[in-house]
Amino acid sequence: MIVLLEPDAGPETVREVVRAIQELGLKAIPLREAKGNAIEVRGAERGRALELRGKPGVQEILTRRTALTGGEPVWPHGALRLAIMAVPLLVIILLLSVLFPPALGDAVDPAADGARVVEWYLRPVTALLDSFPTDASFVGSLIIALYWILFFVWPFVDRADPGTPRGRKTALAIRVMGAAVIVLVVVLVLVWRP
Amino acid sequence: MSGENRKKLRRARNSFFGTRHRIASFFISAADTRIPPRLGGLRWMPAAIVLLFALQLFTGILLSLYYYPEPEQAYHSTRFLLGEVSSGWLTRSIHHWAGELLLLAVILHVAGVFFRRAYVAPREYEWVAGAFLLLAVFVFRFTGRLLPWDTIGYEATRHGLGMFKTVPVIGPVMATWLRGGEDMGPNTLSRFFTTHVLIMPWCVVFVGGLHFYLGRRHAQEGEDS
Repeated sequence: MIVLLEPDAGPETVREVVRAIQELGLKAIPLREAKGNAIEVRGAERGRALELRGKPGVQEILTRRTALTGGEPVWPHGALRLAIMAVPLLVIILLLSVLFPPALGDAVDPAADGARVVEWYLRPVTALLDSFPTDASFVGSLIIALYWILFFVWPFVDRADPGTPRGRKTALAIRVMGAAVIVLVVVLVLVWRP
Repeated sequence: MSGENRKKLRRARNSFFGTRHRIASFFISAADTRIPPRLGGLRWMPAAIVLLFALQLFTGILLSLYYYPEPEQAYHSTRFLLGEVSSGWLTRSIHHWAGELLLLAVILHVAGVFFRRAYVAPREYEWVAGAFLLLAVFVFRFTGRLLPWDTIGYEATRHGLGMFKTVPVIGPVMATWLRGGEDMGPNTLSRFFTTHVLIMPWCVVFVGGLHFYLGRRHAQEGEDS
């Protein structure tokens, strides 16, 4: 397989791509006649060319590892990996099921005013809604609605090109913000009580 | 395709079933589908999701054998399942924990895709299908909580539906429609049961299938997730 880089890709980019390909267990040789903009990959099963935009890093090489290495067949390799993953997962489910069976409450009395029960996955949303006074609770619901809309259309919003320095910075900023949101949500799920 | 699999494919196509239904050849070619080597981090999560969903279907079918979707009978049938049916408590417990882990696995998968930025072009619609899958699993989990018709599930559902009230204009209408009236009762249970047992499994199969199909198509074009 031949990996084609953009004409203005410098020697540093070529070295990084070569290193990333070698980390996949393949032999990578920059082709001199192509002035360093093409790399021959040996050990790959598929013989077609692969074009990489901008200045690809390790992540861009990793996302093309099936094409570079030829991948592995679903049977038997994938099935074996699934079986290896399935056994501990089933053991965990069985242990949780035996040690912590879900409780069954009393029969429902619609007239009674029961205690407030909040499921773990609704805790962040409930905490947000509770943080607003009753007459302004629509602000909380508006934030949640905007969050879901943004969540659905996110790939159309994030157009940062990782091949450029500006794009890499944007991607890093997005990851940091995502991590902050996840930490906040996890804390609310684990700590917050209604 | 490797030489061994090519031989198998040729044999399968020429076999009794292969010449009539093309089923065997379909499975042989599907078995040779290429997947990324060395799945690390959260990349094995889709397989866990499929496994957990299969477990949910299996245990859900077993639970439905004893369940009656009417308020009085729903509670008593659940009690009967726990006390009288052999391994009934274990089946319900597995259904509960597999459901929790399924939701957790989908959330972790979404987080993994987000941090790898595996949603960038041309994978936008794969992300959208995944977002619908997350929403479907949320609905799955939420509708299932009410079915035993016990105080815990009842109050959890009442709280969940109560959150709709905060949405201006359409919120109260949506809450009333989901409840099937002003208060929670037989209509609510019937609606939640139908959604949980008849609608959501097909939604998850359709949206998950679309997500999987798009993922495989992009992988064949040289773009792993």
